Amino acid sequence: MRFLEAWREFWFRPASLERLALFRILLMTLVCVEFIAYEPMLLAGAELAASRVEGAFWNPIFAVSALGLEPPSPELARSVMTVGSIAAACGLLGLLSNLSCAVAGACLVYAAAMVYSFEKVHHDKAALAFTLAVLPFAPIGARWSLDAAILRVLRAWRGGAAPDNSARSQFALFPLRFTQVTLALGYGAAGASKLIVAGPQWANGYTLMSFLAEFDMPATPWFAGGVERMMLFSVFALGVQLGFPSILFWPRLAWFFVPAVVLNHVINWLTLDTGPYASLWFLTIAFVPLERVSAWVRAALRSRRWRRRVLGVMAPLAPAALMSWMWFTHYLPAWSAAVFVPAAATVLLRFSRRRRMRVAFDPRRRRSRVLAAVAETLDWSQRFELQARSSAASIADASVWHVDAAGRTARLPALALLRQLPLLAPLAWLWPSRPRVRPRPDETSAA
Amino acid sequence: MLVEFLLIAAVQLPVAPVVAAQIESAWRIDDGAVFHLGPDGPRALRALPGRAPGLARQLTVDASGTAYVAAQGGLFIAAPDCDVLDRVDFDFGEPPGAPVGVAVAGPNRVWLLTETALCAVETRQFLWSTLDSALPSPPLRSLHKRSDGQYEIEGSTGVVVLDLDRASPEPWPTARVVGRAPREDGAHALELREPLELDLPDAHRLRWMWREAGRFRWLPLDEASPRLEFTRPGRQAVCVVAFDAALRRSDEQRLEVDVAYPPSLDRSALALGIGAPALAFIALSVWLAWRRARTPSAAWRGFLSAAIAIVLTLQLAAAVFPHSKGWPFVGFTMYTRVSERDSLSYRHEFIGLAPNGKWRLLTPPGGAFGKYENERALQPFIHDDSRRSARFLDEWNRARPSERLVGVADLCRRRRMTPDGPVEVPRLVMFAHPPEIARALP
Repeated sequence: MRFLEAWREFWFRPASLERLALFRILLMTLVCVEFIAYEPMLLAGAELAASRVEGAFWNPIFAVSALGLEPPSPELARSVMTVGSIAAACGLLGLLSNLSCAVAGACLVYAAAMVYSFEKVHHDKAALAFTLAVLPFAPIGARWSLDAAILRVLRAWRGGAAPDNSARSQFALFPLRFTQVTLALGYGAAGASKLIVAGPQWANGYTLMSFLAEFDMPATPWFAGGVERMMLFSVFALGVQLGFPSILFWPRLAWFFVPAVVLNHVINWLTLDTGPYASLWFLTIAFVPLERVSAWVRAALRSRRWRRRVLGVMAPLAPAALMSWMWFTHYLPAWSAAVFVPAAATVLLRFSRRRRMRVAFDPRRRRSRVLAAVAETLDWSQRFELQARSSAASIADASVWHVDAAGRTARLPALALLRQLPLLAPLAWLWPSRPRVRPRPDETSAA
Repeated sequence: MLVEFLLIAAVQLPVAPVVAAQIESAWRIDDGAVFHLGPDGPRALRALPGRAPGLARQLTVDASGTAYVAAQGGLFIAAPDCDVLDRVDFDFGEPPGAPVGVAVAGPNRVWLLTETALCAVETRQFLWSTLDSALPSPPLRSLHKRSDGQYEIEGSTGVVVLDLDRASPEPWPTARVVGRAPREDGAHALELREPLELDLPDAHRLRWMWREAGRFRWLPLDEASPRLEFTRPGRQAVCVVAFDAALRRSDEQRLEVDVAYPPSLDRSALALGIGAPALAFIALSVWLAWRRARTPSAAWRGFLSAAIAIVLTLQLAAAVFPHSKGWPFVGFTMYTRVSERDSLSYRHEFIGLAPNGKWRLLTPPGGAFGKYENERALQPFIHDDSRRSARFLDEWNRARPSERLVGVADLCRRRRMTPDGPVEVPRLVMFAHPPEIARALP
């Protein structure tokens, strides 16, 4: 019984739906990029297999062989990538979240399995495949999604009860836990493979040096420039891999192991031409309590200790800068940066010290309900504090009201309300961000 | 067009002796040390620590400009673009005695005379073999190629003249698979670890070796019990070849095999052995959860618990199968190989020669993805003499008339591991087609 309780506590402890939603968004962004990065390889393999020219290679991995799959035709490969990309974009936006994530995952796993069968087997997508397999079973569209927005607005329109607004769910944690356990298993077993098969001699410095020497990457000469240095890196890599599973028991160790594995992969990329391997190390975001990041950064920036303030800036900025550099310089076109503008505005607004705006609405009026639902749905930076106030219904034609610090209400035009939202935040910076509210006639006369 | 014509004409003109003489003249042994005579004057070659050549006795240069040096410390090689005189590490042990003479025997082969034996050396993998010729009594002193193509070997009891370059008897025999016939598609169906028995004719006279089709290195076949065992499931190919004592070799004989997964991993066994128990476990878990709380969320929790447990167990179980190399335990060479001081690392450059004399980097067909895929795709070029290269050139020039090539080659860049980091050592020319273009290599 104690085991069952521990099992339930580990996998199904109520956890933040917002964290799960952010995990979905980040993961689907990664999947979108992976489709772009993988398309040339899949198409090249499919075209080579279809042409039956010399040099075409087909050595199906076990899963492909067990399922009796054949090399895809170029048309099928193109269709899979198109369907997968559309599904991943839908998953990112949260439209039919569970279905779209399942389809995107299936397409990416199929593409990866085929590419692995067309060339030397790799393992960079293994953990991602497991994560994508469990993600659709969780309430991933409950927050930060079009699904949630549509549901909320529809219910507001119909006058039904607002959707369950609780911030936590017992099914929000298991995809993150599953990713954590899979990563711990993968990194730990990779370290164990070196230690068991090659032995401690693997860390003699010459082993790693000989692999680096096979490549002519810009950083290779410095890293491979001495056996002591190489020995140090070998011990570091081995230690990080073998020690990684300890995060499961002591979560605070993530502060060391997560940056350490990212550093390992980046150095491998710069010296061994392994490729970014982001489909593996990006998943370490499962160890980051994403829903608490903004509050943590705010607290860090207000701290009197300069080291904490530096950490507060660097901890979110460094990975964001690394990912942006990697994606925009290698895979994404420049115009796609526009897609990230609302996200960036959301983050900035969330970190800003602006007071929340209290907005009242009349739950008996459809227009008021719908406007409040739209505002709440799009309020990514948590700008609004919504209050249902039927007592204010005496004010004719008003949809929502601004409530000031003294509790007085004033009409709030819909445009002024929407301008507070992150989607329109760049415009809000051009105009005064405080809404110009018209006071109620009775308040004016009273004054 | 005119340049192309002139270059092709130059390649086809009988200028080999003149060029060979020029190449030879680029190297000199002076007081036992080796010098390269470049445009900036003579340059002494350096040796890596612990790999000193001692007294250099003779050198010979092949068509690609690679110099082979017989020295007290062993056989050494040098290349025009490298300042290191690098000692050769032979595959399968060292030849007996200290080298005293060396001469080019043919493409990728040299004759090596040591104080006690005359050896043929293959200069890509550095295989070697001793010749049972009637030699003078040891210690042997020198090897000299005469203008009539015969070799003078001087020993303590006089000089012997040998015709070492006479052709190997044709036709070469072929290996036969014993006790089984190939399927209609040409592949031999095998179980995992089931040996493929071979019959190797003339095993007393010939040295039979084999390699995996995607790999470079030849491995010896046991003459007493020639058999190949496959530890990896799936369709694959091996190449079998015979070498004579002079290390001239037969054409590769390709054997296709289709190795089945173990019976425990076939589709019906998986469905019965994993699928059915997994479904039963899920059903049991859902039922138990429902019985406890009788809520849909409890049942869903039961389903998820069972599914998570199954997937994690399968991940761990993957380690049981030795051919499961990717996850979670990793069997790639980066995880399993150990290198020591003086180990070598390799990097292949597949290059094409344009009619204007410029070289360009190429990707072999099927090898577009990365270093290891390129090396796999290069093997047919490296081992198939010039026929694969000839076909490639033909296909390339038909597909890209504006980017014509007159030749292709593979340079194997090598680095040796030292305490101060990897050091560039002389490159090997794995193949050049047509052979004459080796003279124009960068």
